Amino acid sequence: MKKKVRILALLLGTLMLLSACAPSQNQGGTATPAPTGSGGTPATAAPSNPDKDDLVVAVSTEPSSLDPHNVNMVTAFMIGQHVVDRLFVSDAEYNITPSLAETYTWLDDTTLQVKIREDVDFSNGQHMTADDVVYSIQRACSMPQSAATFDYFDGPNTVKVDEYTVDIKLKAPYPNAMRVLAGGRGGIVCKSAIEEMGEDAYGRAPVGSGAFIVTNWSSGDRIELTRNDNYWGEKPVYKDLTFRIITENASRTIEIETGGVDIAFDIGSDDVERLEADSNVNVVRGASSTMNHIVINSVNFDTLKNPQVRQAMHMALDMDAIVAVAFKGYATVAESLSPSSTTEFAKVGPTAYDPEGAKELIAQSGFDTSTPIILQIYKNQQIQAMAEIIANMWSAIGLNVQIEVVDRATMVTNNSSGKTPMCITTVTCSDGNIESVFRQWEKLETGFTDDEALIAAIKDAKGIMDDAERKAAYAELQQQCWDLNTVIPIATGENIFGVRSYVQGFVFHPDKTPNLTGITFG
Amino acid sequence: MLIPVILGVTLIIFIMLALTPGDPARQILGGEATEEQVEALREEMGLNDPLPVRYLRYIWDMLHGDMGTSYSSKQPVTKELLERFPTTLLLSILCTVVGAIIGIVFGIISAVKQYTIFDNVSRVLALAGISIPSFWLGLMLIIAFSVNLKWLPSSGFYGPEYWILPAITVGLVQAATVMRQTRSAMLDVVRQDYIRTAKAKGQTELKVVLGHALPNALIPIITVLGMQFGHGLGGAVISEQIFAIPGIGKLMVDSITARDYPVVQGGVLMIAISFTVVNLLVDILYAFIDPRIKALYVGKKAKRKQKEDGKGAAAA
Amino acid sequence: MKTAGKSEHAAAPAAKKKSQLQEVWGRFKKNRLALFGMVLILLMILMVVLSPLIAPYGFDEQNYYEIFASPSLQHLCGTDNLGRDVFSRLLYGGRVSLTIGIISVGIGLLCGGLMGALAGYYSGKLDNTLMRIIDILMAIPSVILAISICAALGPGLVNTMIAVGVASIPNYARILRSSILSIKQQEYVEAARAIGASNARIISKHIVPNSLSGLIVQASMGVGRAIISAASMSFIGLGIAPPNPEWGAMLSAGRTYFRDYPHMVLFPGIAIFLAVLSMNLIGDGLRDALDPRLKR
Repeated sequence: MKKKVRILALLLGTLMLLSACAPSQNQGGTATPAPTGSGGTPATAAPSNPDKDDLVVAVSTEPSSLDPHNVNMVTAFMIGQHVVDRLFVSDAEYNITPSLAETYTWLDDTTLQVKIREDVDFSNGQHMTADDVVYSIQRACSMPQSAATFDYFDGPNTVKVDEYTVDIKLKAPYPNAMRVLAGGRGGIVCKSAIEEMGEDAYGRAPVGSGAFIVTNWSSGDRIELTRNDNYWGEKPVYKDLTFRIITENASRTIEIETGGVDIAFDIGSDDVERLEADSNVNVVRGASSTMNHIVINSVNFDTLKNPQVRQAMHMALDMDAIVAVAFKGYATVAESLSPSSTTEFAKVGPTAYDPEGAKELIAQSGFDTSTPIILQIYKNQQIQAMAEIIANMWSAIGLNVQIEVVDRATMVTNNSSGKTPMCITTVTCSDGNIESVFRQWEKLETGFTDDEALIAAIKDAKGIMDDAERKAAYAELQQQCWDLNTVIPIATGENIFGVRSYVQGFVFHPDKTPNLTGITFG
Repeated sequence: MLIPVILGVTLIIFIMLALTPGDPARQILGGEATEEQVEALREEMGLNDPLPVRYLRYIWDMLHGDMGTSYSSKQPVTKELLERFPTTLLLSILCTVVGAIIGIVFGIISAVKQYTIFDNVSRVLALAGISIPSFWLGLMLIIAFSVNLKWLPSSGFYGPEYWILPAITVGLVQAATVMRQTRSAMLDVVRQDYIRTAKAKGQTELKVVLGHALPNALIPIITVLGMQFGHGLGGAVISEQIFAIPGIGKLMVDSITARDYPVVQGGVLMIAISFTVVNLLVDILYAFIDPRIKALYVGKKAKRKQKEDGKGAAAA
Repeated sequence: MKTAGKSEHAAAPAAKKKSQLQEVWGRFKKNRLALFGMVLILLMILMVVLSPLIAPYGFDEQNYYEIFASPSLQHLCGTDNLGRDVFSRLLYGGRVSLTIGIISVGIGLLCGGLMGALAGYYSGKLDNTLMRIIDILMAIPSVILAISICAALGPGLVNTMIAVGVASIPNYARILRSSILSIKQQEYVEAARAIGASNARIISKHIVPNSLSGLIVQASMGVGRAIISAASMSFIGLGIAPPNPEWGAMLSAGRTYFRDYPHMVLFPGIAIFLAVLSMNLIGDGLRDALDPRLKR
């Protein structure tokens, strides 16, 4: 019988050994601050393969649809841009250039006249005309998932001038109009295809005029695209573009290391160092357009009404430590409510880390520190790490913090109906557009503010046509909202991509929507 | 038998989903949509109707072969499920095969060589096997075979080399149970007189074990294998997650988190049906394996015939 | 006279019971492996109960200058992504994991046992109805059942226990029902009924004690299964709220780092493994000890 115990011990030992022989570089890792911008060393010992005819990309989430007007996921816009072209395109610096549009002129503040290309066919063979453009814009204005973005567009009054000319009308002057058209929801869809296929089927295999065509979508597994040989623009050099859906961070990293995929999205910050040391993989990373922040419903919840308490909560947070530990340094501490990628960004922070001052403020405010403060999060490794650190720092100034984990679906529902006291969440400012940050402030339910003058100012800022004036207005708003402390911005993480070294022409994009059409293989 | 189970399963899931917080309409539209838009979508999706109405409507549609449309992918639920089912079926078969081969072989040898070192080692191994969390085993296997040795891919399900790690992860844990069951069933049989007789008649040990003992010990082994296979059809939820396998289990978890009610309902329903069908098949298999059970059915028929004959005779 | 007689009457079965227990214990302790399991689990329970005294650090004591430290004398099992001592977290986490294991088995036993006992004893309509309910619960895989219960109730310690417990109901109900069905056929039950014993008396005096052995064995192994189920739930993100440690949650948190810092998944995995193994060893030993005919 003793033998059995010994055998058991032996067994355990073997298992431990097996897993312990993982190469463990970087022990006791203290996080190193990372410079932003693209990094990675050029290829040295890459197996070059000019005959390569396919590109395999690992993404972390599966889009629910590829219909540009019927979805609200970044991955959908990233994949969708290869299939459905837009009137304008914007590059990684958000410079806008015409795409399906040949020329354009602003007839007045609310009328954009666009002359579209005459040589464009949809992938089903239909010729693209002004009707499709009018249809697309009217559709974007009416579909629930795109209507908010197209708020300023006047769908019913957008009209066809001739076969290839459209007058796009706005309800009011709107400086961001072209950005919206160049953004994820600006796709020009084929009118007859949608009417024939129906909306749902169209979302699975959209007919557009892009460089690729969706050929197969195995749900939960992969989306396969193949080159559109009738593409009006410059055709890609490779034939097949496959997006594999791999949700586990570690699995995506292993796939890019072993060459199972050519490009991997959303590399975990813990894997960056290993991949940077790998000569077969380049790491491309840079600041994202997503802000991680704590949002506080100060209107509906009495315990969070006191501005002194909220200020103390902000002061008690050591943002540098949060970035170093939760993001392993691959993030920048927030300096405003919006990420620095937005055009109207103005530096108003950070608030100095001062736990002693925070304690004093709490004492002054007469806040009963035994009141439980509930911090809601949804299940996400990074957000959980942030929450645990934040709870720890708040406990250090004497607050009684409780973390509550809910499903993401529950959180979105509660949050938009004003039932969440406080949570950690993210906001993404696609297309360099600061509006997403302030859109939540306009809604009373979120409880950021009930100051009507402030809400009015936020609404007005969107329509200021003069760039400098608008920038000044937004700078003022950022300062004002920062001082309220109902939103505590934490940090902007990095978008990190793993790219096999033979892949050339991969361009970083802060919105996580790099266009892969121009990729070549060296 | 099947119909009350189906009704019960749908009812339970329906009630459970109704209790679940998180609005599907809000989930589809995202945080930026207005309350009015969400309300309009709820109305369109029929979520504002009272629960009994929704349940009856669901049953009614189901009777007409319509399991609804997925909220997120907008695909018919039936299509969504059938797309995933072959993967899960294959994984389940592979795991059961791995479990059966390892479990039965070790179980037989253990029983035949009772109290030897082999027996002791494999019993401890089996105990260890049922004590290991399969997701932990999966992670360790990935470290060992994908990361360090680089022999096998770590994720996906595209060909035989992709099948190995998940099949082993789940199969090993199943093998442990099968081995224990095989061993005890074989020990029961080995002590029977007819085995002694066969041995006395000078048949080789192999022939005795495979020819006489094993067939008589098969029933409990088949029961365990059938149970495991039936459960496997419900999806190896965790292993599918770890190895990025697009099976039913992963679909179910994703759909629960995304509040995709039609897929959850349809999926649970399909799992319940396939589980029940597998159980039925196992029952039929019994009859093939055990002549006594066959005789029972045949016997009933014969008896009935006798009775009728008797009646006929009496009438005459 | 009367009282003396009664006490005498009461003493006899007690003595018999004791001797029975002794007998079982005698057989059990001969099984070294089972004994090993028992000592192991008692040791774990002791450590977990005394964790405030043993643990070198608090379970939420973060140290940002010492994240991902390898196992050393200072940190026996290393530190995690927030610089918390993994060993201390394992000790505190054991409280949660073992509690979940035991209480959820309790829930399963209570509900499942009751259903099984009723179904087994009162056959007919009640049996049919109850068994249909069990069939329905059986047809939904326990993981998915547990996940949807957890999603409906929301995460948290109590809800996790309920989810895991409810998902195990069919198991216990079926075992108890089938053993009762076979005991009901025994002669001594018929004899009791013949002398006019009430249903309650027959159930409590004859049927329950005789069908318990199977249930005890299942329950001891069930604790192990429940620990694994709860860990699986944490692994997919349902479970108790941070920063409270739980073995499954620790494992889940560690999987992001498992390549560079295997200690983060290794030690919680071993803790789960040892706890479950010892419960299984005990279960095996108990089965042999309770029913010597099965001993092999």
